[in-house]
Amino acid sequence: MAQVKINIIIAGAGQKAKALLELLHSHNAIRILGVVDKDSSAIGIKYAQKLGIPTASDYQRFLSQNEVVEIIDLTESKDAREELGRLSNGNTKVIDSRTSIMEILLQELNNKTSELEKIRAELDIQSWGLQKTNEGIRTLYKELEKKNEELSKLDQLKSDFLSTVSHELRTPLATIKETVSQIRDGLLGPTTPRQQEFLTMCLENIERLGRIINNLLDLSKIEAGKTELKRKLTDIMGLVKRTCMTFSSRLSSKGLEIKITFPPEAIEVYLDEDKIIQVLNNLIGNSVKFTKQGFIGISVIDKGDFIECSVSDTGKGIREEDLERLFSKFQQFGQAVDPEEKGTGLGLAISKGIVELHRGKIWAESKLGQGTRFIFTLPKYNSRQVLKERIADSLRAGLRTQELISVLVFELSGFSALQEKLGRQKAGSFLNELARILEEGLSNRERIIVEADAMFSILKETTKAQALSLKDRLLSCGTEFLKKNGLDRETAIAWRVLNFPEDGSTVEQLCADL
Amino acid sequence: MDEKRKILIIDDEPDLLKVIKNRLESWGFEVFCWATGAGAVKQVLEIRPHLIILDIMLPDINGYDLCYKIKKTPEISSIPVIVATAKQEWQEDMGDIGRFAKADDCIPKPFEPDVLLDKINRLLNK
Amino acid sequence: MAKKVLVIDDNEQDRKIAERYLKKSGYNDIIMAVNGQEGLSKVNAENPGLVILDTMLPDILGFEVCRKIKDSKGPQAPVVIMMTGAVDAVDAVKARQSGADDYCVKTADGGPLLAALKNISDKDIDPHT
Repeated sequence: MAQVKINIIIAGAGQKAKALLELLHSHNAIRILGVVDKDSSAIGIKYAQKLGIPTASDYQRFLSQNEVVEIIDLTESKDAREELGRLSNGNTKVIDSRTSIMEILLQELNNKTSELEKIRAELDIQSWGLQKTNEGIRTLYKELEKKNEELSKLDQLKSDFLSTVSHELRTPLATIKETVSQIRDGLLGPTTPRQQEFLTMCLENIERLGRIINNLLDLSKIEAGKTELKRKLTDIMGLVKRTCMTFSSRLSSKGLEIKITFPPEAIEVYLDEDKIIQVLNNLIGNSVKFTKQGFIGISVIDKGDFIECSVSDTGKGIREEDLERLFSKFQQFGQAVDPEEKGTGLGLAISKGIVELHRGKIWAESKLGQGTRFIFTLPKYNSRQVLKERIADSLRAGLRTQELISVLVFELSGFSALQEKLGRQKAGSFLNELARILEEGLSNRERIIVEADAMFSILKETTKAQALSLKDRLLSCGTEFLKKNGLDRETAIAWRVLNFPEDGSTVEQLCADL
Repeated sequence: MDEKRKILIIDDEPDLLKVIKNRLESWGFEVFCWATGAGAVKQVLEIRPHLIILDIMLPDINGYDLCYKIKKTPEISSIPVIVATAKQEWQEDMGDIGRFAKADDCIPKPFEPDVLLDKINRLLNK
Repeated sequence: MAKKVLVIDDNEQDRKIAERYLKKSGYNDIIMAVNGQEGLSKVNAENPGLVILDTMLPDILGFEVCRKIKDSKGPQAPVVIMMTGAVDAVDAVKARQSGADDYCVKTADGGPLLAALKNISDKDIDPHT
């Protein structure tokens, strides 16, 4: 909206003029054409110059034919008034300055007030919005807390469920198995050969049911995140060799050969021996099951940060579109070569779970008619990473049900020197013995977990002070044990005590400075 | 001939007790059964068996605690105990459980008769 | 007599939750709309006394719907409670600026909606009564 401006000239340049300039110079309804005073050093003149407003000693250059010009008279001399009186004509008005200023100021005040009101209304909306948001956040936070609580309850329920299910399923199975085998063994009276045959079949199926239950529970445990790895530094080639040995009779009865390819150097990997054997058993077992003739190839390749282990066969292969589904539950492809070797349909899903728990990958490659190759990788960890991870995992599991937990960490310094002196195996059993001794100092539910050259214990419902005094007691036992074995020169026990929530409120925080 | 060796089975499944009793008797043992944790220690003190087979899941007490209790009672602490369990997590930790509960051996359920006999004989001939 | 309520929300789950808590608060005459367009035409056709309006609709912004409801009906406009899945101060401000009478977050237990409903009946800003 175009605004009508009031053109003004200020006559006189004293203190009053300065004040007026101050008030009006930035007002958008007023255009100050100039300041007039005979005295060019007057305070108002100086001030006008500072503001960039023109100044002069007479009025001529500021007056206009076309526009109304108001001269605000601030002069105090009679002469000056007379001069102004002469100027007053047509477009030029000498006005009662005070009235005009009052009007402007009143207008100004009105504007300001309505602006303020607008701002206040806006502020009201903003603060209302903020309050609503606060309420919302509080509500959602409460909801989140409730959900969290429910989740941890559910988690506990899931654990309890798994362990109850395994108990409930196995107990009747144990009775059935024992009853059938007693009948077959003739404990309850003589049986005919035909009855024997059927009872044997029955027992084989009981075995199979047992295997399915085990596999199903294994898988549920993995899926529920309840599987704890017990990793140790392990000679992977030895492990593979030992697993292959268990297949030798099955292989020779089928006339299959086994070809093993190993790198020249021994490789040690942190892994859960039992679990990786389970994977190898699955893969080799599958290969043997689906291969009529030819060989089973097993290889271990050192890839630097990780190892790659593969099991290949000369079986009939798997169609490409089936490869993806291979690792899902209850997927069975093709008829097994030997009908009595019925699988559970869960082996590969479990293998995948186990490999992924080790942070490795598993996949299959196959050409129809030529054979299949299963490959899995396992990352090589250093002992420190494994220790940290183990502690973090145990803590996470503990924090699901506990609010107060202390972690006791003991580390044997100079362990590698000890290994050289005693040999790896002996050093390892020495460490286990030390762990056993320390464990005796704990209450009977607490455990010491050995990981590489260190060991730790998760102490539930234990304050930091309690943990520290427990640490002192264990430490003196441990040091005594070292002395007794004459090893207190080479090695010493270093310790750390961490407490949740005192030392950190998240697992990450707690483990960060390990 | 020797007096019959006495075995006490503590398990809350009557059917399973019945068949295990039958099996153990076929091997020539004298078998006693008990179904709860309550009074179990008293039974052991009275019967003084040569060996105890103990289920880890009893209705009233954790079998593991019971085993610990037996092993802490001086008069009977030398009686060998085999803990049996059908629970998955216990099965994985058999070695540890033996170590903790101070049990002498452990066996998963369902068990192989041969394996059980082998374990019993080994402990009795120690 | 309790007034007629229109729930405008594209999420079925959220509609059900709203319906459950509306019934709990004594509103039994409940109609639904799944987008802004349908909502606006139902406001005109059915004259609800209260509208529960989601901020995120598939076709028109919830705020726009709110403004249209309030503009088209003038003083006869229904009470509008806006609901959101997101907590955002700007959203609450926008809701108020578009004329909404209250604003609350969506939760599974419907607590904030119940509180908003109580607020409305306490103030009794229902133009029809």
